[in-house]
Amino acid sequence: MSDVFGDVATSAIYQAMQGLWAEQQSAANNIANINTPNFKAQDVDFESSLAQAIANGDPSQMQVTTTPSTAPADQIGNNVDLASEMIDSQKAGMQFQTMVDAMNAKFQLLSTAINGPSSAG
Amino acid sequence: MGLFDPISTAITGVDASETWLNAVSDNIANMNDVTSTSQGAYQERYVEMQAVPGQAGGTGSGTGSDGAIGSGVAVTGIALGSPQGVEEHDPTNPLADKNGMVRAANIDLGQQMTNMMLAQRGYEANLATITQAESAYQAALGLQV
Repeated sequence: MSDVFGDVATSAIYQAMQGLWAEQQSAANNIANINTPNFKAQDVDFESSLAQAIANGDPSQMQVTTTPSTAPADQIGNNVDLASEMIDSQKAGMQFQTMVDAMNAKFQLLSTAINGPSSAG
Repeated sequence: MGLFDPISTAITGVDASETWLNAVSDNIANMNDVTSTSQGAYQERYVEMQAVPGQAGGTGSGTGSDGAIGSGVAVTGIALGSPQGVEEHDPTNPLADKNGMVRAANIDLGQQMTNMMLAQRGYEANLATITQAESAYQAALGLQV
């Protein structure tokens, strides 16, 4: 791709943010259903798909995959593990922050290229 | 991907937990209710909850084995327990029948306290989700060129 604003790095960061957002959404849904009878937690995976998409040169091919958790269920048929959901949510949040930092660094490079180092801040 | 999805999902969990807490407090408030044997006793309130499925075409749909990421939980109704209660011998009670029996509510306080703890834990966990999602939004707002 020759588009300066749509290169692989920017697109990969954007897709990673989408995937991490889906993980946040999934953790929120699992926690909301912590007391719902017969609810099975959903696991989200995008990393392997994103790695594959980046290897193919087009990160936008990334797919977010959800699978039902196979963790053992409790008496009401629910298998949400609160501790692991909280950890997943925190982890996704920190990774999201890292992606924001990466995107800012990318923008900084572009800014330097456009304006020169003096006005790059 | 809706912008505020995790927060609205967590709010459904807060609402459901709150409904459950309301039901538990109703049950505990009425645990000493007594009626005459010709009437039904106080019926225990049970909250029915169901997961809200994600929208078709939503995040994760079409690629996973269980479709899109769900959008929270919904209270689908309140079920009532048996009006049978327990008959107790209390001849001094003005409601007592000719055998001196009254009908008392059959509420298991231990069960209610356990339910209250579960509901409270659910409430707190959903609030923690909101805090977590909020800090992610704050991070996204830090994007600058």
